[in-house]
Amino acid sequence: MDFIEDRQMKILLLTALLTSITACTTVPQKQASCNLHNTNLTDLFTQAESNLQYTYCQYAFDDYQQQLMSKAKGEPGMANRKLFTHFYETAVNQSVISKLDAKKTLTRYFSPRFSDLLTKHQANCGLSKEQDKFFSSMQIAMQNKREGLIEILGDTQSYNQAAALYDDFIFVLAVTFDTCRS
Amino acid sequence: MKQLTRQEVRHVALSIILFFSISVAQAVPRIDLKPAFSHLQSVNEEARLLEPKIIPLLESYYRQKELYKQSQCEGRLDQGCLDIKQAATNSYMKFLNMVRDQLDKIEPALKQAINSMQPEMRKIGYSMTPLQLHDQLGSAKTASNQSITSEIRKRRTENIGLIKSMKKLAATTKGKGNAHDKQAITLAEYYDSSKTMLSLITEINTNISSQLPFFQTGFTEIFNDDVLSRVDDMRSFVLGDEQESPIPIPEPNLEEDDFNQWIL
Repeated sequence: MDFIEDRQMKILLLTALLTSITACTTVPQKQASCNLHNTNLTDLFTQAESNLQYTYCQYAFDDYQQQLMSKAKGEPGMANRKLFTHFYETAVNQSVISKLDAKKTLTRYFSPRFSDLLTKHQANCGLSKEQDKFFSSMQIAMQNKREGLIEILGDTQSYNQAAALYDDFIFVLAVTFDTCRS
Repeated sequence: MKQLTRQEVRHVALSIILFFSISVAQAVPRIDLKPAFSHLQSVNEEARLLEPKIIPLLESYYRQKELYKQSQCEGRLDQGCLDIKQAATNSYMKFLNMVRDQLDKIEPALKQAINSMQPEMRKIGYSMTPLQLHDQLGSAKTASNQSITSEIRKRRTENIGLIKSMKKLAATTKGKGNAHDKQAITLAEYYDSSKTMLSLITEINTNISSQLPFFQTGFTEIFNDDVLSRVDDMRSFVLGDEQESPIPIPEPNLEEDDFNQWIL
């Protein structure tokens, strides 16, 4: 009886040991393979795009975006636009995000346009009920453009264009909303 | 011939409605600025007449004030000092009357301009989508549009007073008709400026109505601080403060790569 108990105990201990070893070896390995190693900007993009090919790394897409943006801010230049375009193209090809989402993000950060926020199914007066909400989202979009156009691309000209368009657009809408209410 | 069921009829009707709504939503309305321009031109003509008449009167007031100070008239009641006060009062009263008479002519033209712009503003509100408006405002700027927009932008950032506002507004409308492609912003600017000017006219008229009886009853303290600040306010209302330089409009970035396929 004692012998059986001793044997069962050994098996249990062995199973527990094996389970913990497997846990310690597999999980960190997977995480490590999805992590981006701190290197130069172009390599970081290459790593991120390569990792997106693996389904188990696709959960890290948002992190990749953040890391790439943060790294790119340290090396601003127009070449970054091409790197980001390619990164989002890869994400679309790997079905991580939709093409529409990719376009929205690229427009939001790297274009002087605000089309990602706008609808073509509602007249301007229809927007007047949500005026405050819409103007706040325009303000946030302007902050995103500062990040994308100035901090990442160093493209002051496009940022000024965005600022001028923002100014004109908000002004015409505000005057129009007054007319809608009268 | 097969009879259509009620459901089929409903589907056909809904499709037709949907088709027309999409067509209406996608057609950018044509904004007619010509009626507003012609009213604003007559506003400009009246404003042009006002400025040369009132500037000498204000100058005369300030000259009398300086003379009063140089002659050390403060607290004295001799005839020379009283004459200076009377001359200043006359100049200022003439100024107030002149402004009031001219505003009586300007106000109806301005109201007509606003009335003619209202249906056009409603087109932007009800027949144009935010995306269409955005695209029109963001479209490539031509040289002539840049000068109009720069004028408008300048006006938005400074107090140039009633007369200069009216003249600039009319000057930017001159000969432009519907030729340029930024009708929405031009209309919104003219509409908003015209409404601001109308409020300014009401304010000036109220100010004049409260001041005139004061001087007509023989009030002689024309150089006290209260009157001086009223004169300065009136001057600022009508003629404006000093002008600032215009804000430059950036040129569009013409560099192109495959990025353009990736934006909305």
